[in-house]
Amino acid sequence: MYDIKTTYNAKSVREALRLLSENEGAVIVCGGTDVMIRIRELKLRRATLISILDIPELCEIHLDTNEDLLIGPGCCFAAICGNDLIRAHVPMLADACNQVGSPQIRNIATIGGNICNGAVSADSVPALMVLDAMLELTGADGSRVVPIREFHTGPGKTVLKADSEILTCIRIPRAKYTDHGGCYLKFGMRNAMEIATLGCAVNAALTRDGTIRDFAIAFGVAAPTPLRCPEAEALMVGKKATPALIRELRKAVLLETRPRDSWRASKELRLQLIQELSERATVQAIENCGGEIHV
Amino acid sequence: MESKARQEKNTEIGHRTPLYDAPLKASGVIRYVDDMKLPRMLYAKMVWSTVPHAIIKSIDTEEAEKMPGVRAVCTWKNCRQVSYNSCGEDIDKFLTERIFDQRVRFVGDRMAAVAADTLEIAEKAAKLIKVEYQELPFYLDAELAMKDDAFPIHAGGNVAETVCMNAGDVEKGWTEADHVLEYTYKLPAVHHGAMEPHTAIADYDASGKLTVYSPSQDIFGCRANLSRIFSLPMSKVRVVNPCIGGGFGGKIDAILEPIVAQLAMMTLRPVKMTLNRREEIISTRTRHAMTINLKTAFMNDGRIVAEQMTMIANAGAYSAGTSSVVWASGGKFFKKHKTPHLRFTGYPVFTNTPVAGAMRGFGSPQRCFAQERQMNRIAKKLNMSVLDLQLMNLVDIGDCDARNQVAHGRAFPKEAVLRGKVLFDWEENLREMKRSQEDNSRFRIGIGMAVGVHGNGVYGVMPDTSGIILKLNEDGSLTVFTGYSDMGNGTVTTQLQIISAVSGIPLNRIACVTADTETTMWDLGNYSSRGTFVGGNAALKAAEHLSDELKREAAEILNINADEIVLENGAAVWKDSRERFTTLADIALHAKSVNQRDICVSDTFASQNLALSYGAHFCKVSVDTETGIVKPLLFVAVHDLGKVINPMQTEGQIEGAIQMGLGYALSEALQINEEGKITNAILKKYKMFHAAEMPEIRIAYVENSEVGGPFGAKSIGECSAVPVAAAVANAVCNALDASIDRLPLTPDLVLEAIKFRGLSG
Amino acid sequence: MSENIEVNFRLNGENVTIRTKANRRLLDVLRDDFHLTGTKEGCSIGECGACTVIVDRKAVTSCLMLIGSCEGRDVITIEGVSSPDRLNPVQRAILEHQAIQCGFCTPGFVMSATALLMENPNPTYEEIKVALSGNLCRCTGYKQIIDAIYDAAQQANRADPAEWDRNIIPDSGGRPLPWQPLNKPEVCELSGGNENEEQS
Repeated sequence: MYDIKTTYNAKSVREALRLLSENEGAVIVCGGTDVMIRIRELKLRRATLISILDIPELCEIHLDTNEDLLIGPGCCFAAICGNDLIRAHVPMLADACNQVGSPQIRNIATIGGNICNGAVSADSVPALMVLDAMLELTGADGSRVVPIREFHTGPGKTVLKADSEILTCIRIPRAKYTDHGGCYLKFGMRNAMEIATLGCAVNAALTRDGTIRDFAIAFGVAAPTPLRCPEAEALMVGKKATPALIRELRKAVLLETRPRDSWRASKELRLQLIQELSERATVQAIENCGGEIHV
Repeated sequence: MESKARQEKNTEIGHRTPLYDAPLKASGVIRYVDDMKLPRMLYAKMVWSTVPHAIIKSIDTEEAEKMPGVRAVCTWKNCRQVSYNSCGEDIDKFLTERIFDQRVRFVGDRMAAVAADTLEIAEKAAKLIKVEYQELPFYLDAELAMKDDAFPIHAGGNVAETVCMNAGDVEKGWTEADHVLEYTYKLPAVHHGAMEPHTAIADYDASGKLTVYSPSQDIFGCRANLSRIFSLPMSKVRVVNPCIGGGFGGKIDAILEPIVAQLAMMTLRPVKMTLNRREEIISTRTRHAMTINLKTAFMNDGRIVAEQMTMIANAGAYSAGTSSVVWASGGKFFKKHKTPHLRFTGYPVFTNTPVAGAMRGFGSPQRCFAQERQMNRIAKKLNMSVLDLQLMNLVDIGDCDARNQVAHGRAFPKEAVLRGKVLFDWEENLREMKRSQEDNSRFRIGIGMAVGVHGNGVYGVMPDTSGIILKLNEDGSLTVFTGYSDMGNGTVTTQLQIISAVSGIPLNRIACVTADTETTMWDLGNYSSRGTFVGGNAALKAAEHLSDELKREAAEILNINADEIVLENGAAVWKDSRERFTTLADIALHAKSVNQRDICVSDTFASQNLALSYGAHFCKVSVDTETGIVKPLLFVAVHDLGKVINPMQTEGQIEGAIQMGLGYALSEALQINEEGKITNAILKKYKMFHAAEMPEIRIAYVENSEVGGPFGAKSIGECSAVPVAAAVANAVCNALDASIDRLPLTPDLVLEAIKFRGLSG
Repeated sequence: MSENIEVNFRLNGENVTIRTKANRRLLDVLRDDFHLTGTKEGCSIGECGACTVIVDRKAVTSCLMLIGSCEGRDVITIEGVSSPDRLNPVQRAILEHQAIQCGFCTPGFVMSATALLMENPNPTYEEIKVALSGNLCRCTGYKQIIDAIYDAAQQANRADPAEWDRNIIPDSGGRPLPWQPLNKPEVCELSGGNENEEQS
């Protein structure tokens, strides 16, 4: 039986924050798919759950005046996959969200939950990382903005103050999607319902002559937290995309990742996959921003 | 013309008839056991062992018992202490189990159960039970458990028995042969994965009668066990299977039934227990993990002269059906090839792991894997086509078991191979495979095949009988009483089709009562691929009997001879003129009013021969040499099954078997850590195939009427599950020109094989 | 102990109110309180899809949904799309294609497929496979299920879309569907030689 004390449906961020302060140990839930499993596995006991699923402003997707893309964390994956703005500007994110769980899960599970759980296998996170997404965390005294690169601190751990803050907005800067091409690849044995054994996202932009002017690569399940590989990225910028460069990238990413054995795959398999997915995601991302690999 | 149309309309055989209970299932109103509630019903929760092997030094239930709403707590101290074998087929041997024992033998063994007013209370109370263990040495590996000095898990030692079967003289074979190959193959334990977890309700009433509702594949075996455990006459034990949500062999054994019965007798209230998926995976039954050593001697032309198999079967902590599984698997070692010198040695071994039992194929998928991987190797060694190798060695009609000269029946495995070769487009796919190797391409194409054999019931091992009662109602409609419970494989629908075809009563005028020990005649159970062959025959026999009775009455009404009457469309018609007929309603009325009797027949069919079903499976895969992912692209299954009674059900059986076999080959295996705990006991980690991963499937049949089969039909349910994994593994190995001798073929294993072969990637 | 909460929602076309403990899932409430036992529990963690229901026109797994989060929502279960004598087109196709064996997963597949066809009346084979990727079936090899749903969609495309939607969810104001039991003639009497042979 589920060890749940009570549940609330907050109607506004303010109400959610008030409930959070009034109920010690309360947990914010949105779709609740992950929280339900944590409760079932007794990783969460005597839970007071505050649902933010019914807060309309957390479920919006729009462009602000700077044309930054703002995504409400309460958007379920299906809503993100089907959103025109997302598909037009960051199709990679739609792809990543489309690879989460099953259709039934995508209809309830939200991108905010995916981020806040701090799971290393969260499909949306590597994509958001290469897009330099900024997270707006709101508390009673106002909001602060944290780059998603700095959000995860350990397995299941984040900088979010779970007792007093709520993720209220995900901002993707215009500069990171304009003229960029991206790709998210996930390795799983089956086509469906797979937790990522490894996920890799690349976001790239080229100059007119085909030189890489911007390059970001991030991994899920390649270390205790999702991570970017800044040194590998630095290696790429300012160069033409050639097979030799990709070979260098394959080596470079290994220096910045730290995979381990798990029930899903051995460390050796992950090391192999890190190289494979880096190459494939990069080739695809460069194609997606109008370039090609020069031979 | 008219009479031909009439005949076709009147016969159900070969018709694509939906399951008789399909409307109930499609609308969700059919009632499975867990959907049932009885008045005053209690809910039970089990307490499971957390250690792999121990004596229970003390078990403290006081706090649990004190909890409001708790009605009974049962442990080894207060339950019936009768040893039994949960498997009906093996009910008289290896009585290793008790309801609760003072000893626990695997992580997930039963230790106690709580019955309470609500499930929530039962769960809370279960957590309050405190146990002190005196831990004992434990074995997770059968090869360690079978050592002479191993600590015995059961009195009598860890090797339950030694199963030996011989034909000819293998020693002679070794010396005669041009080549001898010997390899060892390892197969994992897997989960049945029926979507409905185990569940049971027991009700013990004031008259001293015990009624158990259970989705059991073997209600009479379950009744026998309950009768023995509780010393009740069988007339006071009723086991009913209202509906079963998938079995695959996992629901043959009496697992929860004795527990809920004990709790119902303690509380005098109905008690229900339903397992969750984790409990289901750990504590019910698995397919046997096996280590199989296979030594094969063959000539330069491919003729196999001798073969020796040594099978170590990990029985888990209790015997259940293990003995029968090893015997049955060994028996079929003698039924596929013409090999004159054969030796089979099987060791069922107890370990401190989850209990293994019957699972679709009953030991044959494992044996088939070893044999068919070996065939692939032999073909490669001799540089000949594996198809030619098969055709040289597979049995023909008229061939006999080399042990006892019993004929294999009308066996056509070679036809299945030849049909499959065409349907699969073997030559073109072979070229594609070679091209992908020559191009050294990242995605390697591989093709492979395997041939499987399976039985039709247990004739020769024990009496194999099914009983059927047919009752004509006053309006001429028919009620059928059958001991079978339809697992969805269509057994009961097949029986109804046969009854309809023979008696001429349209299907929509026939209803049935199934699987109730109190109202249906004895039946061996829903296992051993006996549904069509034995159950179908029982239906045929009873329906012929019924037809005689109907004709006898009709003859009186129509004033003609009984042998001049044809039964069709719910009427008895004079064969010479369709003007002269009488309806079944009139027949029923006539029987009552004139002869003052009911028309009701009961009949038992006893199987008189062991027919064999064969299947040739072909698989095409794509192997990503850089990630190790295997993608099945095409699967072809051709089956020698005598006659197709219902094409739609046959397709469903084969496609389902392919789905299970693909999981066995590529993604499914119970993982046990060094402490004996299963680490993937949830469906997130235990990976079964989804719709999206299934390859294209093509199916064909070799239909050459089997002697003794109803309308010439023989089994398909298990045979279709036997060669799947072997065909996939051969395809993968051929793609990589590598050898992988264990399952499942995970990316890790595939990459390791690639590294070993020094391929790119 | 879990606190009691009150939840109002729409269930198979009716407004319902329930006072229940906050720790109960939609699945528990459907099965135990409303006796809608067509929704099954197969894995409890959203992996098998046997508990799939339609919430606000989307397929969701009711084992992962707490009853508290159903406030104000529109829930449809297998019982809401049919009755034994009145199957919806998906169910009828499933029956005719033998896309059923043990039947335990069937309600979940029906609900996933119904949700798909509500959103996309003309799905491709691939789209059907994706829509069913959260449902496990151990008996069939899925082929008959996919064929059935494809077939149901083909029928839908011949029908008026609005009508189709009403057919899928009978209680949304549509006329009841006559259930055609099996494609077998109802013949219990012979009437001499003038019977229509082709009747079926």
